[in-house]
Formats: sequence, C-alpha cells, structure tokens
Amino acid sequence: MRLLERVEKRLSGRRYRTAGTVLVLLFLFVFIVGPPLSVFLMVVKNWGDIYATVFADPFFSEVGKGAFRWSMIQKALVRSLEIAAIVTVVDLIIGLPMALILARYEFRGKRLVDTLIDLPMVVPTAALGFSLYLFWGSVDGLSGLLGLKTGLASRGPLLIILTHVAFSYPYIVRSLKEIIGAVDRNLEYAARTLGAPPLTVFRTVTAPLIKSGVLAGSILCFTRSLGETGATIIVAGAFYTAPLLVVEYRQLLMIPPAAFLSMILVSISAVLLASLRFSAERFGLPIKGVWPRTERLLSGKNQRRLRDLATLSLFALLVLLPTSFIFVYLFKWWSGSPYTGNPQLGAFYQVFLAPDKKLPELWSSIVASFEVAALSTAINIVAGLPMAFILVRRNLGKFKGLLDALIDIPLTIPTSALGFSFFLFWGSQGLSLLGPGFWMIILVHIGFTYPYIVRPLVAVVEGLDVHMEEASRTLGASPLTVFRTVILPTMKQGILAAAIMSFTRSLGETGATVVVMGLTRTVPVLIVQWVESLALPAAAFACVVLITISLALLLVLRYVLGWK
Amino acid sequence: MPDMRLVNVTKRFDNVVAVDRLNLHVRSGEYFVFLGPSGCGKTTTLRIVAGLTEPTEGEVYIEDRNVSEVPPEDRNIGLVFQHFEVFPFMTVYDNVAYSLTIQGLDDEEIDKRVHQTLEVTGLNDVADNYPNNLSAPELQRCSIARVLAGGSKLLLLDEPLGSLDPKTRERFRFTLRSIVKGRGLTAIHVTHDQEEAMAMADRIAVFREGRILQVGSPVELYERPASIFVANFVGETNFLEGIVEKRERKTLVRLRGDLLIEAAESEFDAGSRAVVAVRRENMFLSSSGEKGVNSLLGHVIRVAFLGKLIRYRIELENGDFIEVKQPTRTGEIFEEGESAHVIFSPEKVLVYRYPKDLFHELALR
Repeated sequence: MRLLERVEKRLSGRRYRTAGTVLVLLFLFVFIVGPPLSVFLMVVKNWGDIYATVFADPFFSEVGKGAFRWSMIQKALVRSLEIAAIVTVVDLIIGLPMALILARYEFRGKRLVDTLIDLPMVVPTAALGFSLYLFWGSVDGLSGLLGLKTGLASRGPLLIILTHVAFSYPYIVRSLKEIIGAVDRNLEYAARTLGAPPLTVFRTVTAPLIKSGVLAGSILCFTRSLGETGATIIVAGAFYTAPLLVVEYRQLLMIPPAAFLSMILVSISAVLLASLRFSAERFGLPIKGVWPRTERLLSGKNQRRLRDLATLSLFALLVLLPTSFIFVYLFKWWSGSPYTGNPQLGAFYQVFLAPDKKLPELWSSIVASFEVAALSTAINIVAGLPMAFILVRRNLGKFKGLLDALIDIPLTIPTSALGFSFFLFWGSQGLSLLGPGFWMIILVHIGFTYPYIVRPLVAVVEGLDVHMEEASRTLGASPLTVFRTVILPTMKQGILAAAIMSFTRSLGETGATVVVMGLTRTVPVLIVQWVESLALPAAAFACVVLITISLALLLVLRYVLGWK
Repeated sequence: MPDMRLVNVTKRFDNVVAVDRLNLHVRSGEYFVFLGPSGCGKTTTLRIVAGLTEPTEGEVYIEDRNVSEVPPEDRNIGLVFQHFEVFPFMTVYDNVAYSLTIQGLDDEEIDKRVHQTLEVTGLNDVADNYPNNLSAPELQRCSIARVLAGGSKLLLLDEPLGSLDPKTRERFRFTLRSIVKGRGLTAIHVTHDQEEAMAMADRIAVFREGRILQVGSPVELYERPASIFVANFVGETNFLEGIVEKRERKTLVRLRGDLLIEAAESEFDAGSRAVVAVRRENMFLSSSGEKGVNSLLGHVIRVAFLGKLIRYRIELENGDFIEVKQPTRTGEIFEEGESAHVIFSPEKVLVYRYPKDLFHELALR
C-alpha cells in the first residue's frame, strides 16, 4: 500500500470520522447560524438601550414622539411586506406562462430566450437597480424615447417594485420551469383523451400537481424581494424598506434599533422558512366545477398565440430592456456628460482622467471583490462538502429536518440584517474578535453563500451511485480512498457548478457588505457610492465591468453543466 | 361500435421515419393487437390514432369520420397507459368520474355511472383511496375504469399489462378481453409480447421499422408467417439455408452436406436459394429411425429442462444447428452427446426466398 492510501485508511477510522463530523457541525453553528440567532440574545441583553431608543427616545418624548423609531420600523416593515407580496404576484402572473412556454414548446430561438431570462441573475443587483433607474426613471430611458421631459417613474415604491420584479423574474421562471418539466406528461395526455381541452387539463391536472412547488417558489421569491438591498438602495430615494433601514441605522451607528429590526427580520425569515417546509406537505385546493365550454373556447389557437405574445412582450418590457439598458447608457455618455453634454465629463473622463482617481479605486474594489468571493467560496466548499455527505448519508433521524432547516437559515434572512448580525456577533458588541473590514466581509459572505454551496452539493451527493463506492470498497479501498478516487471525480462538475454559483452571488452582494465593510470597498458598494455622488457615467462603467465578469462566469457555468 | 381506418399514414421525426405509409382497417368490435419489437412504430401509430401525435401525412378515420384534425379530447376514445397515469391527487372515485364531470353531467348521473363502472372493475372497496395506496393491478383497473366510465367505444391500450408481474399479467389478459367483448367495444392493444398478442387478439398486425409486415389472426400468423422475420418473431423457429430442387411433384430443399428437406408446397424455381423454417415444437427427436428426407441425424450438444418441455440443441451432421422442444412426459429423453434423429413432417416446413440480408431479417429488432 502506498503511503497516501495508508494515511487515508488511518484517517477513515471511527475516531477521526467523529472528529470530522464535530468540526463540520461546529463550523455550521459558529460561522453560519450562530450570528443570526445571537441577535435574539443581544436584544434581550440590551433591552434597556433598545427600549430607550426605539420606544421611548428621551429627546423626542417631550413632544410625545418617543416611539417615532418604532413607528418608522413598523412602516418600513409593512412597506417591505407589501412590496414583496406585489412583486410575488406580478412575478407569478408574468412568469408562469413563460415557464410553461419554455417547458412545453419547441420553437426557433428558444435557447436564446432561455439564456436571456437568466440575464438579471448575472447582473449584480446594484448594477440592476441602477440600470432600471436609468430606464424607467431618467430622461435617457423610456421617457426620452416617448419625448417626455421627466422620467416615467421617480425613485420610490413603484421603481422598487419594477426592480424587484426584474431581478426575481429569472428565479421564479427557472423554478416554475423545473416544476412544470417534472410533471408526467402522460397524465396530461390521459386527461386530454378523457375529453378535457388544454386549459381544463391545466386547471384540473397540471395545477394540482405543481401547486406545492409553485407555493415554495413564491415563498422564495417573496423572501428575495423582502431582503433585497443593493438594487433597492439605488431606486428607493427617500423611501425606506426594512433592509434599507438596517443599513441606515448601521451607518448612523445607531446599534440598538438596528439590532431590534434585524431580530424582527430574522424572525420573519424563520416563519417563512417554516412555511416553506410546510408547503411541501399536502394541502387542499378545490378543483371541483368544470366549465368545459368556456375553457374550450379559451384553449383555441388564437388565444394561445395572444398569450405567448403577451408573455414575451412583458418579459422584454419589464425585464430584458430595463436590465440591459445600462449598456446603452454607457455607450451614449461614454464621452459626454448627461447633464451638460460636455464631452470632457463622460464616462471615459470620469473614470480615466478625472482628478479624483476613480480608476485605482475601481481596480482595488475589483481585487477586493475577487478576494472575498474566492476565499469565501473555497472555505465553504471545504466545509460544505462533508456537510452534504452528513445530510445525505448519515442516519440522523429527527435531527435531519432540523439540520436541513439550519442550513437554509441564511437563505431567507435579508442580507443586510444578516450582515448586521455578524457585525454584532464578531464585533465589539459580541465576541470582540473582529472589527468591520475585509475579514468581516469574508465572514459575512461565507455566511450567506453557505446554502448556495451546500444545497446543490446535497443534490449531487444524492445522485451518486452507491454501488460504485461499494465496488471500490470491496476492491480494497478505505472510505477516504474511495472518496478521493471514486467520489470526487464523479462530483467534480457539481462542485465546480456550486462554486461558480456561490462566487457570482458573492460578487454581486451589496447589503451584507455595506453593513460590515469598514474601509474596504467591493464593486457593488462602489457603484452605490458613485450613484449617490451622481457620478452616473462612471457608475455605469463599473456596472458594465462587473456584469461582464459575471456574464463570463455564467458562460463558464453553462459550459461546465453542458459537459455531462 | 366504431371501426378505425388509417389511410397512408406517415410520421417523420426530423429525418427518422417512424411510421411509413400505413394502411389499416380495424373492424368494429374487434380486439386488434399491434405487435412488434420496440422502436417499430406501433406506439407512434397508436398515439396518432389517439390524436396525441400528429401524422406528417395521411388520414385517420374513426367511424367513417376523418379525425385527422380533431384534438384528442374530441375523438371519443379511451387510452390506457402502461404506467397507468392515474391522477395521484384524486381518489379512485374522482379519477373514474373525471371524464363524466368534464362532459358536464349532473352529480346524480355521475354517481350512478361511476358506481356501475367500479362494480364492473371490482374497485368498489377502494373507491375512496388515493392511488398511492393501491397495488399495481388495482391501479390498472382504475385506469381502465376511468376510460370505461366516459363511455368511449374505441379503447386504445398502450402496453397495458407491461407494468404488472407475470402471473397477474396472464390473469389480466382474460379480464381485459372479456371487458372489451362484454361491452361491445373495439380495442387496439399495443404490445411487444407475442404470447400476449396470440392469447388476446382477434387479429394481429406485425410491425417492423414503421411498416406492417403482416395482418392476420393468431393462427394465420403462426401457421403461415409471410416472412422470415414474422416466423422468427412469432414463436420459436429453426432456420436452415439451402437450394430448391424439384423432384416429381415434390419440393425438396438441399442443405449443405446434402441433407434433404421436403416441403409441402412452394412456388420456387429449382436451383434458387432458399431459407427453410421449422418451428421447434413441430420437430421431435427419436433414437430409432432411418436417416433420410425430413429425418436428419445429429447429436445432442445441450439439454435444458424447462418443466413440461425439454429443449435440446442438436448439431446436425453437416454442422448446422437445430433446437427442438420435446414434451417431457411423452417424448424420448436424451442426454448430452447422444445421437438422435430430428424428424418433422413436410406440412410443417415453411420455405422462404433467400433474403438480401439474412442477418437483418433474423434480427429481432
């Protein structure tokens, strides 16, 4: 036996295995779920402070407004929930027919549409928000085309909704497409031959089969909208959603109300997460009552064509054009100011020639973004791979559900609240180990990308052929040798795909970074700052750079997934 | 009782011709079976009849109505799937009521007809169960009941017994046929199992590579297979190559090694190459007897005991191989290495023109 195999055999022993398991679980509790859950502890510990700032601020109680922060928090929460609900409904209405078309029809250009749908997924949210603001809210965008003197939508709720619809659209279409694709078509054929026209088939057979999947997708869409920060900062104007309020309090160093609001957001996420798990269970949906004549009428060829046309045009108007508008904008103002038309004040001048040295700033933020994304991804692969095996292979009994839920925790918490909880946990309020800055950014990014690594890996591990491993064991390999020689080569692609996913997520993140960044800047944060300082062409340049990088990564991802 | 006609039906997928200029008439009240190896176009043809696949060319007539442009829901057919496709989120009762509900009948009428159908198919006890609590035979009963309740007279069955275990399958053959016959339905049944086809069909169409090679009753297919492929696919047959000779009014085929086989009749010219086919069960082995025409000497090289039959593999004097199935009770018993005469009568000998590609002809695909 070679040395390597001998070492592996040794390490495959029971003692080392247990130690490994403990380490992996420890990682989960300390680095992933510990910080968000510790918020509750913080709130209890500092209740006095919180009460004083949120419910009874001494400065304002004289005028009877001691609880003005509480009413602000309430208002922001209600608005966030309202926006999330509207966004989810709109997404479902425009996303469901698109998912149907992609899952069920073959047509020329299908691959193109399929790829274009992913576009908002690749565009980091800060860039997306900026692009949508330019498209809907500036004279350079749609209103200019219509000959208007002002933007169509000013910064505020409407623009937030439009932005959230655009960025969550690919997620809902993807998941719906998958769900519809998984439906056994023969069931639908059976219904057809039993006399049901297409629309009736959809209502009585397809809908009941996909309802729990659709519900789960909707809840995820809801949480995404609820927690979105990067794009929202840019399009919100003077309007506050709950995650923005966290950022605002944090920037004003008002820790107690930020902690309190974070706690509420974490709680809401927990509830949503629980309902997500519950939605997988059976729930009733009455399908009695059949209107064959009306549905037969609506199943006609022309009606279907109309539906397809509407679906495609809504996609183009609400998602595709606004998202890609940033390119047009950059091209237009490459060498001219959008305000004065002065050729010296375009993107080129701002980035490369202006005295405030934007180029080095951009460069160092790109480097920081890559370092953060690469490090957090690498660490998560190392910690997440064994976790995936523990989840799939170990007999955990009742704890499996719990562990499963714990892993998903960061998925539903708004990233700014999550980031803030890390700030509390590691910073001076908690363990006092770390101040805001580069390393804290890394910790936060490890926290929110963890489920993005573990989830796909779990799916990959579930798909592994155990017989192959058994064959290898009976041929004399110890478990660790089996892992290295049989499992890893089979999982290579899956691991790479998960890594790229997590990498792009990290690259595009704004909310979590803003809260813990100290003096370090990542590109999305830089974009927000440049937009806020009205260096719009320069911001557009940074956006295009970031989009290009993400797009390249997505293409690599597609290539990798196409290997099979 | 509807009949069904296909006129020049062709289906091309990209460049692959799945169904090639098919013409067929299924008479009303008939239990008709599409038989063929997988990929032969039988299922595609059935789906064309159902309206789930659109033919590239040709027309489909059901009861003299051209339904080529009619969507499946308006064809008044019933399709039974191999994997049942019972709606998983409905009870058995609701599954059976499905098409009646769509027809817009009132609840009382629906209830009456559902109960009738459940009675006939023996599902009364499980009416309120969900499909995931049912066994495979119950699921298949449910999918049949669902089709019957709607009242369609043309039953299309796509490998309906394919997901059942062998014993149940045999029982179901009888059940299915008696339902069809008892209710005066027309049935088209797709299968690749020739025994199933023989046991159930009034008539069988043998499919290969998108075409129908032969249509006939089970007896016709068995006694007079029109081609080497059909002879090979339906039943188990020995094939030997030889040259036709005419002697007086007899047709003889000379194999290599000058072994002679006499056939009852053949329209072949003397001197032409031919393939002789004899079914395994139409030959028997004997230790006594004289070497001669239709009595070929060889020795046993393999014995397989199958229960009521014993299968022998014989190497003839000339090096050709033959397999014989001999009844265990009434036949002589042989052991490996023993010599034996393979004896058969001229009436059981089929002669075919030597094909362009014998290998292809004998492939079971």
